[in-house]
Amino acid sequence: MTGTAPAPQAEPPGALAPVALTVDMAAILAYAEITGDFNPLHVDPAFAATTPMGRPIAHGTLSMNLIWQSIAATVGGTRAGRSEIDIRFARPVFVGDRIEAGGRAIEGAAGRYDVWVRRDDGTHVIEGTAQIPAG
Amino acid sequence: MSAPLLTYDRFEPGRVLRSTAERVDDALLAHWRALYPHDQWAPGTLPLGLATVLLMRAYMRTLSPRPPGNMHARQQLRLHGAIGADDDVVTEFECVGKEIRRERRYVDLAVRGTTTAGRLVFDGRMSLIWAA
Repeated sequence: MTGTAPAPQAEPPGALAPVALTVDMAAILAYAEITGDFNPLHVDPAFAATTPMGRPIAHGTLSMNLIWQSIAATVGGTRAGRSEIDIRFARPVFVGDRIEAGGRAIEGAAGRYDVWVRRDDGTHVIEGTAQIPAG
Repeated sequence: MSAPLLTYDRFEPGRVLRSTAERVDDALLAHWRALYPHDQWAPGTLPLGLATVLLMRAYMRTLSPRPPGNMHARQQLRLHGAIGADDDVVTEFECVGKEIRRERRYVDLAVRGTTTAGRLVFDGRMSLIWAA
């Protein structure tokens, strides 16, 4: 599992700082330890092979956490800590996927952002909105 | 005698389930640092994402035993300030809806996390596809 720190200086105004993570089996097992979620769909390749997924998938909230980190890296922990997100787990994240969280301000909607977590090919695995309070 | 499996049929809209208090210990925080090495947070508080972790830990313990293969479909979550490193958090789950769509069993839960001192730290709603 490898994460990358955000590079806020490269972002255009209105964008959330990107935060990335490469998901490997060690990351999935670590997150299972953190949450106590040992759902075999995540941790048991033999079970996962019997499901439509075909192989283990990462916990959805493992990826969702990157959105909080993206918001905090952009506006700081105090504002991020009073934010709200509403997201849909659109697609699974598989072992080996590199994912990146980010977001963009919605024009005309103060503090409201489209947010996502996407794979390197641009496919969204999580999509939704965030409401960030004014500073 | 073990508790019966919590199947879709056993969810009752309006019923509230309350977790035991959860606290983030050093071992859990070490796992977090290893997984998200870039994450930063204020001294004396927890990383913001640990609100999600406390929610999921409470879910694992409170809505149990579950059929294998459930999937998390949607999550709304509002934070109400950072959680203190020494806070104990109790989470309530209220079934606010259940329906079968396209042969999938959807369960909607309103969630609410408060410290044992009574401070609201998160609330929201989670939607799950129940396996059986």
